[in-house]
Amino acid sequence: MNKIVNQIQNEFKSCNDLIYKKIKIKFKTYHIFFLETLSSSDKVNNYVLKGISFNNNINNINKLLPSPNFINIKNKDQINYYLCNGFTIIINNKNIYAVETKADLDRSISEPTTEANLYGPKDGLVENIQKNLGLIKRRLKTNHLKNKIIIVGRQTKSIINILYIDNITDMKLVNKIEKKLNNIDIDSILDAGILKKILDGNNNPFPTIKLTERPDNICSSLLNGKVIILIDGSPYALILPSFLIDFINPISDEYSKYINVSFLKILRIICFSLAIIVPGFYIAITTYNQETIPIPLLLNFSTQRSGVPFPAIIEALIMIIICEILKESDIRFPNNYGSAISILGALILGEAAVNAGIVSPVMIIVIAITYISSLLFSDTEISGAIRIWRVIFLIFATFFGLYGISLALIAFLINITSYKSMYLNYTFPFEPNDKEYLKKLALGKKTNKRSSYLTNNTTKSNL
Amino acid sequence: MKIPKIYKISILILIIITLTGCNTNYKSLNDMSIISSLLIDKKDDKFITYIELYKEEKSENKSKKLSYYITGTGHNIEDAINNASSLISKELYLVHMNTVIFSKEIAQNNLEDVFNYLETKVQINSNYYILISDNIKELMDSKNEDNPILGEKISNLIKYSSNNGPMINYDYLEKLKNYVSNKKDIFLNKVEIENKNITIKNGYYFHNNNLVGTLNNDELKLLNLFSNFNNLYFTFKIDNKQYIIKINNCDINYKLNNEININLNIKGNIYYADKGLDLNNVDLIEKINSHTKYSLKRRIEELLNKLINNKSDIIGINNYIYKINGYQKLDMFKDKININIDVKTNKKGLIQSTLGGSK
Repeated sequence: MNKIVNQIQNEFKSCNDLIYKKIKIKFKTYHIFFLETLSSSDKVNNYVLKGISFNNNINNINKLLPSPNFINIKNKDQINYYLCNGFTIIINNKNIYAVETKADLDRSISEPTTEANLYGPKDGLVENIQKNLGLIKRRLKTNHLKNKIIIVGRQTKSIINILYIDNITDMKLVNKIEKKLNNIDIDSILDAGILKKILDGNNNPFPTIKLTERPDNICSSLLNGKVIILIDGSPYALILPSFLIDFINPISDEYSKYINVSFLKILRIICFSLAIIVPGFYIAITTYNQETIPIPLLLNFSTQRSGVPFPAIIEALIMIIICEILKESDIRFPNNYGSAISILGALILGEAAVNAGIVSPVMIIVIAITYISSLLFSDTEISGAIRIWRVIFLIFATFFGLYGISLALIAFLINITSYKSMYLNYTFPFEPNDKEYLKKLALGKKTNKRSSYLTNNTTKSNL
Repeated sequence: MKIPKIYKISILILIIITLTGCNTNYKSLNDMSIISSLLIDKKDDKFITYIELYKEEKSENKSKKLSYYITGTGHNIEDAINNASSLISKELYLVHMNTVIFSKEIAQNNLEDVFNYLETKVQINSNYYILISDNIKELMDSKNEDNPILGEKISNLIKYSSNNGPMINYDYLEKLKNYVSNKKDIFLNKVEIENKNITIKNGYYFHNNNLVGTLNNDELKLLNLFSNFNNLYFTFKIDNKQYIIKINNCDINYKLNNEININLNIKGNIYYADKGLDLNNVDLIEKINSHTKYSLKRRIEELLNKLINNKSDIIGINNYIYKINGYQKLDMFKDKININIDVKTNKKGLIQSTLGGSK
């Protein structure tokens, strides 16, 4: 028997899904291998088996089999790769062919779930990289859209695509990303999240890479000079570099009128600050700087707190922990249980905790404002960063009052302004200041220019 | 030598904790007793302090702001306040204090003690009012359902009616400035009970922090004129008929040669006029202007004479003179003062000349 056939059979010894067929036509023997879990039986039957079996005179198998993807394998080490990618391997003497007979294992295109928006396209990325590329190329009909392929993962051999528009994107950025990806030595890349963790590998809680499942968001980022990474098997794409403002504002802002969106954008920046500062500020003014509270309010606070046995900081921490538990359980629980959790949470927080004298009503208001503000940001990484800085502000306020808030604010500003996304400043377009881009991102105003910080091709008509 | 990052951060935190001193100000809301007003009296050579504290009463869904007093006696003010505070289990909180009221006896003999106490308290508000009362006890008993908090009532009276009343709206900081600098003598309003109502009228003026005399309400209004308060109302009589001028603006400038010339540029409206005063008559308006000018000049001269006789400079004239011409020393108590007034009045809301009024 053919040596190669033996080799394949040995390598896939305990793999029950390997199907082997031997077809003899005249004096020629064809050994056919495919994995039934990855290949479509219909395709194998119609395109390969029938094609070979019903033709008595096979001179050129390439012309005989009507597959769009027919590969003549020169290196026998590649057989495994093609088998594992749903190809059917045909061996005739020393000739090895691979015919694409992939089964449709992926779902159909559906609406994005993590970036749901009222307006804008309703299609989202899926697990099939080809479909995802199609969704992007359908929108960007230009030959300048390039994609570099890199295979990462010793076991998963995941296909990674680096997408960029060659006459917009700074090639220094592309090369840097490519170099980083080439240096990855890992067993498996199962999802875009893992790659994000590897590329964004620093101790700062703020994320520098944005995950998205919206093709319109991807296209908009590409047109601004950013780079997109797609991974086969993941319905998310990575946008590099991403700045703080990208996590605050959703793409849907681009579909509404500038005057209406401006207010929302400013509101989101306010909410970002509120989500971090409010609990600390409350602790500061009620334990150190009571002079800042008007007397009717101070008396109210004093009366409400009179029955609470804990210091304000413990009260705040109890509430923050309860809210975090509720938030986490709401995400983890199936949707059907969601309302039950909400009712339970509202009861615990709204009534029982106050009646039991564990927390004061005003603390519930403070924490509610904090959490409502933080719910504006759907990205879990940015929520995590807000959570960490909230606790830092809280600790500083507990020890130093409003002075502590100022200290924490200085620390926060130092941290965030010195932080880099790839090699670019994270606080862009605020620092370094880019008025054109700031108008677009922070106020939603239309601009005909790209940011010179991201690309050298700043005129939009040059695509 | 490169210092590791962790050491740098540790040193920074240590400096913040040890050198700023901010961590000692921790106060829980539960442990605070908020003071609304501080009343100080003297009896048998001992200070008596009455401290008005806020309390909130809850009934069903409503909560009501009320107050109560604690009393303490001692050989000095600090001692008396400490004795009073020992009656409650909470720390006295002075920051939201509205008023400090003391008796005339204290004003005469212990003004320094009061200011020293207020000066040395770090946690103290700077915009409360200092007043004198002849009868502290009566004032304390004047609380009723409509005005359950004495300090707030007095503070609001000063804040919201000082423009058309005789109150001088100077807070503690302004008074302290005068007390410490000696650039201007202190004036303190008097609070008393009239027909069971709290009223602020008349006042005491000082020279070098010693009480030297009293001013009535009309004189206090003139004092407000020098302090550039707007919307002051002055009543005058012409041909046995009354009219009220509402002063909207008063610009004061000093000109010095060998004499002190104080020029007042007053703009106002005729706010009220008795029947028979035809305000469409331009001649009458002219007459009213010159009469107002003359009357105001006479009243101001009388006030200045009174102050000069008692050597008190509550207006701060000498300070203005020093600011304008520090080396060529003129003194309001020695040199001649000329008052020049220019008054321009309009009929309320109208400019008479454009109306074609009868001549």
